[in-house]
Amino acid sequence: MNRGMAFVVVALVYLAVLITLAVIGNRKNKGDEYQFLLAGGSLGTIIGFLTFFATLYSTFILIGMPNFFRVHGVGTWIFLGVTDMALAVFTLWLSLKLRERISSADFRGISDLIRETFSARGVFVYVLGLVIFLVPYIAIQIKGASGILAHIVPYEVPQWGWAVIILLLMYLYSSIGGLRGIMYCDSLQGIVLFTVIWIMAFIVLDNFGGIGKLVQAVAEEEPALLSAPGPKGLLSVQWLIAGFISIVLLPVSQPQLTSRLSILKGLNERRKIPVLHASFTFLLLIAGLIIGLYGAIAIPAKTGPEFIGKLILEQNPVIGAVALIGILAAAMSTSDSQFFALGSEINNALGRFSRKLKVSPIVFVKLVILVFCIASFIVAMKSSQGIISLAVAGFMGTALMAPMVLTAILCKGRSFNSLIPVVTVISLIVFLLSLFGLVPKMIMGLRIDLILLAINTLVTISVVLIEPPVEV
Amino acid sequence: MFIIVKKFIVILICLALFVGLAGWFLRKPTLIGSCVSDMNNKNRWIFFGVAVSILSAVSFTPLVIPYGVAEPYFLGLPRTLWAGLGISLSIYVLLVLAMLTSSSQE
Repeated sequence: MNRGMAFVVVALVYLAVLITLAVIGNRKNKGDEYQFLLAGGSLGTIIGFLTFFATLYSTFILIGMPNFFRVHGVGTWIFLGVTDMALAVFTLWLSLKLRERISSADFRGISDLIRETFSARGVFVYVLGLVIFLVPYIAIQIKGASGILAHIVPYEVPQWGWAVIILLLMYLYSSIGGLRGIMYCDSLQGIVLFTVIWIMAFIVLDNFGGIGKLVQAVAEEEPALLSAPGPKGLLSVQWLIAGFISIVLLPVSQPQLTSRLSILKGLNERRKIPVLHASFTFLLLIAGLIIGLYGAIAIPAKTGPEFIGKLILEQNPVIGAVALIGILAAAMSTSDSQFFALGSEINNALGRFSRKLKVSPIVFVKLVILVFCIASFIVAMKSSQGIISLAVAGFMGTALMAPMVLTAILCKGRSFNSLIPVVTVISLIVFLLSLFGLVPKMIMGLRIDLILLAINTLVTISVVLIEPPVEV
Repeated sequence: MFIIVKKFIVILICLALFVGLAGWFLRKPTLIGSCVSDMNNKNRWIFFGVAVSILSAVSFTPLVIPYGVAEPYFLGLPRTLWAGLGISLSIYVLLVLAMLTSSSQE
């Protein structure tokens, strides 16, 4: 079977399963708004774990992570390995706190909690921050995945064509199955993602004869890869700390993750999912390390997509086709959830507006997702250096909102004045200005994002401790 | 191709067995687990928070990431890698402990 035929067969099977899962989700929703937006609020362990895993790991984990090991060496383990284990502990704590906080079926999204605690101003800041940082992030993912597909698939489909196909597919199964459909599709995508990366790692390891020999070969070719800060000097202590904070805070700063933790069925699911997540993440990172070190010796490439493209072309056609589908899955599994979370939160934020228009929440969310799909397509195709900076800094950008969101989760039954949302919006603006070079990125030797997060956290703690409790 | 798939399936089966055994073992009460579960809920989370923070902070020090130094090697792995793996596994153990002790008092 040639490469093109193998891709078509695997892609068709994959598409058929995706649409079937979306239809199953749709049948279970029965047209109910709560089922469509929050999957009935009773997420089990297996689907919960798989959807959390797939949603958290975007194309970065399949393309960026092995490439990070290839370019910056073993110090990447501190950036990802240590950080992801800490993230799992934080996830366990957060999911238990969310259980205490959300006790009624009236819960519709994190913006509800923010409105309760900070009024509509807080919701405005939250949604604004999400739109500014998530849309470029999704766009860059779509651009990366469509670029690889256009480069490798042996049919004359341009990059914009692949971007349209990815976005259309995502829109289709999101609007058919709602959150339940997305979670079913995510589960399949999580399995594909994990299998693909381990198949490639296993082939590499089999060719090389063990990880020890791989390390030995790297020591001879590029010894700087075996220590921090790596050959390019990127993995400095401050960089690693900024990465650590922005990743550990993901479950609270990214609405698609917070909403999944909010709708877990019971205590057992909340306890098991972080442990399952940590176990599989550990294995995933080991695979990334193996592929990355192999790439450092055997695959010269300028960019991550070029490296993964060459690696896929080295494989047997069927494995190559599955790997390409893995990239597609990785791009879609994060973006679909981010789109849906954006749609749900905007629906919450503008709930009164949609009611005035007499549009049902389901239709409103579908419309918002469509608008963001189009916006992401335009951003992906026109991306400039500024947009790329926004996408790369997306995690840190949303992390700046974490103190505000955490306050809304932890301070049940209390409301605060606008100081915390105001400080949050100022920090977002200063951070944006620094990304566009209008404010220095370092002040007195310290990264501006770390300074802003520290100020945000200090102001939030002070307000919570000083302001007299006001019962809502 | 067939050999690779066969080996991959064997590895998956081993992995499933490992996860199953680990899960069964972790259900049994352990000495450390019972010590930690004796703490009240708030103190227990302070303990886990401080322990994870200390371990993470250590990973940013020259103990784990000495500038440009790969020695000493352990099991064929450079220092940053084996120390980083060790810290990750330690945090993982804390996570499992937190999971095991978070049922009764939450």
